[in-house]
Amino acid sequence: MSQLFSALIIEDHPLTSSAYKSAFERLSSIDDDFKFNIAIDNNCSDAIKTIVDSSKGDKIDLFFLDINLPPSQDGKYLSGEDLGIKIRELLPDAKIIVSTTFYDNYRIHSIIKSIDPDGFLIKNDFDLQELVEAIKKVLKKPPYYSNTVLKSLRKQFSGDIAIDSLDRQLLHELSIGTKMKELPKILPMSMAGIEKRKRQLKEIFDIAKKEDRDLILIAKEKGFI
Amino acid sequence: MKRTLYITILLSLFLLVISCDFHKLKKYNEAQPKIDSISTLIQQSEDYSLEEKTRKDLLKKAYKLNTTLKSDSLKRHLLLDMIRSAVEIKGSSPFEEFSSEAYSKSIKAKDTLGLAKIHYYFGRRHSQLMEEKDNAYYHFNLALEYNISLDRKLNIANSLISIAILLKNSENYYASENFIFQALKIYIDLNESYGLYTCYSLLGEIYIILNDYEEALRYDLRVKEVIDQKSLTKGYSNHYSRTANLGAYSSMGTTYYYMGNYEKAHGYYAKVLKFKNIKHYDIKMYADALQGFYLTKFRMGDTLNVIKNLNIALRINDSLEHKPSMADIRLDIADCYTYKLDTLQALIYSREAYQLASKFNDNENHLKSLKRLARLDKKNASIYLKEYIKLNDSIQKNETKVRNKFSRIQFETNEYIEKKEKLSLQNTTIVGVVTTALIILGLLYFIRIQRTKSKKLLFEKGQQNNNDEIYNLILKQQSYMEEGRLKERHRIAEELHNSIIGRIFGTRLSFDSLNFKGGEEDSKKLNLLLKELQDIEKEVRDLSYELKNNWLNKHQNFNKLIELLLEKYNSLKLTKYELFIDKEIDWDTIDGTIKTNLFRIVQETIQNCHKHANASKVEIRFLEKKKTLILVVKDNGSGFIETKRKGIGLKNIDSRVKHLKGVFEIQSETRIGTILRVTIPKNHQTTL
Repeated sequence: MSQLFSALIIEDHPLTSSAYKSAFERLSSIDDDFKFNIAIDNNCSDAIKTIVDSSKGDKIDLFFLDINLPPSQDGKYLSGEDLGIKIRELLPDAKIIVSTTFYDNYRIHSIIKSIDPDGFLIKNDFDLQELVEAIKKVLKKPPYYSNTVLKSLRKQFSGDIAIDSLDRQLLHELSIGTKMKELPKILPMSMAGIEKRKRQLKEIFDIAKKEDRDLILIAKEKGFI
Repeated sequence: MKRTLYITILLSLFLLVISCDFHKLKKYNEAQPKIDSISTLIQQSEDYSLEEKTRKDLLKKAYKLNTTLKSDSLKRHLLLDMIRSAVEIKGSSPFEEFSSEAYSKSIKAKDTLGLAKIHYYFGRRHSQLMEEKDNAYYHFNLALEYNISLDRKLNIANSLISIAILLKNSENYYASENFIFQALKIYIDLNESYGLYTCYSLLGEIYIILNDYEEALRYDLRVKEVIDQKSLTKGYSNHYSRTANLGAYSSMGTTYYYMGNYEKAHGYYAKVLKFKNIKHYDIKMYADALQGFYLTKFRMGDTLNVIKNLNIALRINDSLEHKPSMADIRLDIADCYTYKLDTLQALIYSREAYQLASKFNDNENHLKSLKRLARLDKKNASIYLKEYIKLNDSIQKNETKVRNKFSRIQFETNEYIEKKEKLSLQNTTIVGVVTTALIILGLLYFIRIQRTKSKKLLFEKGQQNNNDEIYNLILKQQSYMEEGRLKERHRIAEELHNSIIGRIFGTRLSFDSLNFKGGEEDSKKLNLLLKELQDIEKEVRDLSYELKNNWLNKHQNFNKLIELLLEKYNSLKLTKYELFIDKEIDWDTIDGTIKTNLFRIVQETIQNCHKHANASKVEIRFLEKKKTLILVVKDNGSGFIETKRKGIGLKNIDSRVKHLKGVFEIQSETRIGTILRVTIPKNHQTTL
């Protein structure tokens, strides 16, 4: 039985988006069950328009979402992550495949948390073959996570340590070199709260007497960032 | 500089005070007993009851002892006392040699007091010898001038009286009266009984001569008053009290005689004659009293022994060579003979009186004798009368002349006094103005010095502040640069990562999607190439990852600085410096000023340790407690005494800690070590 899927590729890189399109075409040529209507948007403004229109009219079945996108003109959507959240809101039945260059644990975790994509691909991981497989799986039996993602999740779950998203964000900010005095502006916490969290994290990681640097290293090691 | 000025002022003041008391000081240095013995000898020599020779010997002894004294001023002072005694010794006394020595010494030493005294004694000496009236006058006048300049009131009065006596003796009664009143004013002010006595007695005598018997009596009574008050004799020996009375009696006798009250006069003269040893004490007074006694007897009608005793008086006066009395007594005797109708004897005596009087310029008796002669020698009466008139006129002329001379001297003296007063006023004002000016200058100078000092300090402080500011700014700049670099790195990393990887990926995938119509070998090659592209992606990814994470190796500024500092000292291998910094302290949140100052404090402390402590181990610890930062520096060196806190290093630390609104404690025990503790609030507003 052949099904017609409408898909939207949101990717700012033209080569990449055409490659994605060929993947879809490959799938169609291999498997008769899949027939696709493909559209491409290469920035957030166009994408959001399409999404909104789709929500009112013909609903799109599948989204191919890149995270690293130029922000929308109105500044509401800064990256693919924001779009993904919107998609979930307006088109809850749609399937989202995230394809991104970002590979750090924090990002992975945060994307999964915020979008809960049906497919999560790290650009370096796959080739066309795998891409085709991924699309097929996502449409038939989601989820599909690429290797890097699986590795990250494995790492995170293999340890006994559990930290929340604020902790993660804190660690992430520290790891990218944000100064302590800037943190209260980024995190929804007071200075004292931040200090407390750091101390707790150090205790969790069993490096109570060590510096922030060590905290970050160990967090990296453990796969939190 | 301040210090030398201060010392100079003190020194000059001190010298001033010293020089004033110099005489006193020297006096006390000499053997006091020596001085006492000299003074005693002098005092003894002034005893009238002793013989002249004894008195002279005493003075000679005193003089010999005086030469052994060391102090010149003391010698001079005692010498003057000797002169005072010598003056009273009639005949040849050591007065001449003493006085010339004292005079030259006083001139040399510019001793106005000495000169005043000497001139007075000269005056006294010269006035005893009747021919030297002018000299006496000159000396008394000089003495008066010196005394005025020295403002010795009593001595001024004494000089005035001495001049008055001279004037009286030279028959300038009105001028004399003037001087007496001047002296009297001073004596009354000083309540000087002896002076009052002298004045009143003199006035009494003068008024008798001026025939104003009422006034004469008035003053004689005043004399008696003064004597009766006994204040005259207080402090004087009995001798003086008796002599005072003598003078009074004599004077009253004379007054009453001239008033015509012969009875009362006789009584007083009798009292004088009754005086014990009157002949020895004052032979002149005795002669006068004798004359008066018998004259009054004669006037009362009793001629017994009158002429005989008058002759005795005559002989005494002759021997004394008292010129006025010599003529005078002869006239009295002549009067007696006239009464006895012995015109011949009367004439003889009158002629004698005339000769003596004219020879000695005794004008009064000259006139009197002329009168008598005219009466007795009727033949030559007109000649005598003519002479009388001539003499009378010339006397008056002379009196005017002398009066003018004296008034001129008086005027000059007044002028001198005025000038002196003006000068002294000028002097005081000049001294006052100069002192104030000096003080003001001194103060201004002092103020200037203080100002320059404070300017210098302010400047230094300003410099230091600037230095600190610059350091702060540099640190800030560095951290901004660091941040900038970091952000740049991030950006580059991101750019690199995303765009390159993205593009390679896109290319790779596109290749992969192409319908490959080649052979198996080519297919294999293609796959390899695609794989290679994938690897390139990965490498770029890893590189960007590394780039992003390099920030972890960035310098921790403050810690690193302290570490570097300690490294430098540790490398000297003399002391072991250990650093403990609480990891909780986030130096990024701490204000640059605090860090700058802390750094300096540590630097200062370590320098101190290094210089003084000789410690083997030094611990530097940074702690955080609640909202405060604590720095503890502990060494096991030689320690120091608490009081030696004045060192500049510690003062610097103190001021820095104050600047940070913190607390600075330091404890030290010798041979055990020192602990320095600085506590500062983390969030602070620095004091300006």
